[in-house]
Amino acid sequence: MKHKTTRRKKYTALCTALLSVAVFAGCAGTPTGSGNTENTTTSPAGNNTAETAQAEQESTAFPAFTATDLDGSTVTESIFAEKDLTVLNIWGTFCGPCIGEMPELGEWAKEMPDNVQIVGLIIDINGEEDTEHRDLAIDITQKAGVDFTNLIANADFAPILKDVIGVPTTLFIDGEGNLVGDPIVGADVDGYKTFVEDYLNGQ
Amino acid sequence: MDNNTDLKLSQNCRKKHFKIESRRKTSLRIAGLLTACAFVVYGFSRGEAAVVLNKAVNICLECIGLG
Amino acid sequence: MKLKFTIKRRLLQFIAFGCSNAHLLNFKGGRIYTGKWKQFCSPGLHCYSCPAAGFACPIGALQAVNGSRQFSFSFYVAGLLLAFGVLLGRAVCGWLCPFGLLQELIHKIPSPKRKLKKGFLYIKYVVLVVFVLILPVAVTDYMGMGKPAFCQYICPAGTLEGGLFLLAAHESLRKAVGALFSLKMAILVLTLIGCIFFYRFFCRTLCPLGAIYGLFNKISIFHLEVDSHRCVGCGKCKEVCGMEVDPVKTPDSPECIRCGACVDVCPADALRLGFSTKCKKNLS
Repeated sequence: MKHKTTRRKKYTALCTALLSVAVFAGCAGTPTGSGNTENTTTSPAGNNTAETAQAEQESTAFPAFTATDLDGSTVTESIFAEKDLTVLNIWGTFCGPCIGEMPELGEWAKEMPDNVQIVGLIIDINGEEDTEHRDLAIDITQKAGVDFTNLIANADFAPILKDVIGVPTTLFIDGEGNLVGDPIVGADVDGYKTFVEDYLNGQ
Repeated sequence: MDNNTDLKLSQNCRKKHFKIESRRKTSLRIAGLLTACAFVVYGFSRGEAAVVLNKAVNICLECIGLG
Repeated sequence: MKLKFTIKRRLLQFIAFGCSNAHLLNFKGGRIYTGKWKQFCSPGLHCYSCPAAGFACPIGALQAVNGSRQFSFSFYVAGLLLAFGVLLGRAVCGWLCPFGLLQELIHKIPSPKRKLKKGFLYIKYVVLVVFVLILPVAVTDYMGMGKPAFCQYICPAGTLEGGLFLLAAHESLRKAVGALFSLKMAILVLTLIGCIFFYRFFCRTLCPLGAIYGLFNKISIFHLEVDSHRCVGCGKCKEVCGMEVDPVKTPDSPECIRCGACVDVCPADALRLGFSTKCKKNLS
């Protein structure tokens, strides 16, 4: 019987520990936050990993590149100079959420202010010979009603793509070819729109 | 006499497991394994494994809770 | 009381865990293995977005192919599941599944242990049919791609093995956390807590893979046999069974994970677990 009380104490302690770990981990960096006081130690202090490089991206220039778009035209980094802000949407033909947000992006591209543009970057077309994925990408853009330029990723993009863990990831580039803000991972068109609005208002 | 009964029981046991249930089970098992082989070969040949590979090597944001 | 199966099984569980999740170095960079082996499925439930995973998850693969543009039914994955099922049935759960091992270890946390109401056992079939089989095929976008509904909305293995580790390694992912992640975390926490009180809570109530393998228990080659002539009706096997199966009444129950606990505890040597179908040769 004595064992019962100590046992109960033990398992209560373990339960609490397990719960707090789970809650802590789950709430780490939640932007909207649900009033949890446990995530005060997370976000800024938490990224001692290789992500410090990403935090400094604000002053990083997008690497120079020469690429083909889906229409076959050659595009270089000068495309960024055409507008004050470029929304670079990195996606793949295998990625469900990417394809899901495509129509919305297409709509937005038509409505956005004249000094902003969307450019797509497709990561799973393996070179010139990969007609299968290229045709698929063209099919997707057509069905989605997308008019904006979609670039086919090649080795020039490697420095940027090595930090891209999953798609869709959206980057923002200013008129000078520098990355601004933080990448948005996941299909969040509202998030992109908010960033663009805030950026333009802050100009 | 006990030994005889035991022997008969064990023979019955063996008979029961081998003759009645075993036959049906064995044929189902063989059918199952053959079908499995056929399915795998067919599925592989029409490119399904490539789809699996594609999904498995790209971080599935949906799978980890980020939609 | 012999410990033959208890020890063998635990050993094999750890080995299987190690084999299917061998790429431990990936944890550091938060990357996942991208080699050719991932086109093959390892039989247990695990997330192929886990940094350590070396193979594909059969449930994930099934949803991926069924939900793809080109196919609506995966013969390849179905064939693999059929093969694993006929060979091992739910012994996969008991001997090879990493998530099963995790649940068993969690269950060791001291607490009052409870029995599960029988109705809960049916939920996993609903999960299987609705989330794994129907939704990826029925709910598709304009390109004909369906979502991996089980992976996306339910699977705690994905949240734990893929989600938590990848989130820990990448700040950009942490920023993307939203309502869906909260739902999945809630399911994960509930599962883990459930496992403390109920043996293999997830296996019994939610796992679609266990549901599939369980259907094969009646014909699986690796199976449980009762020698009714030896059985003395003491009921020890039923008592020790974590999955609440009565091995004497229903040795082929779809809930039996072939853990061998009943075989180890039987005082009359009346239970046999293995690939062969012979009775014991001599009754001495």
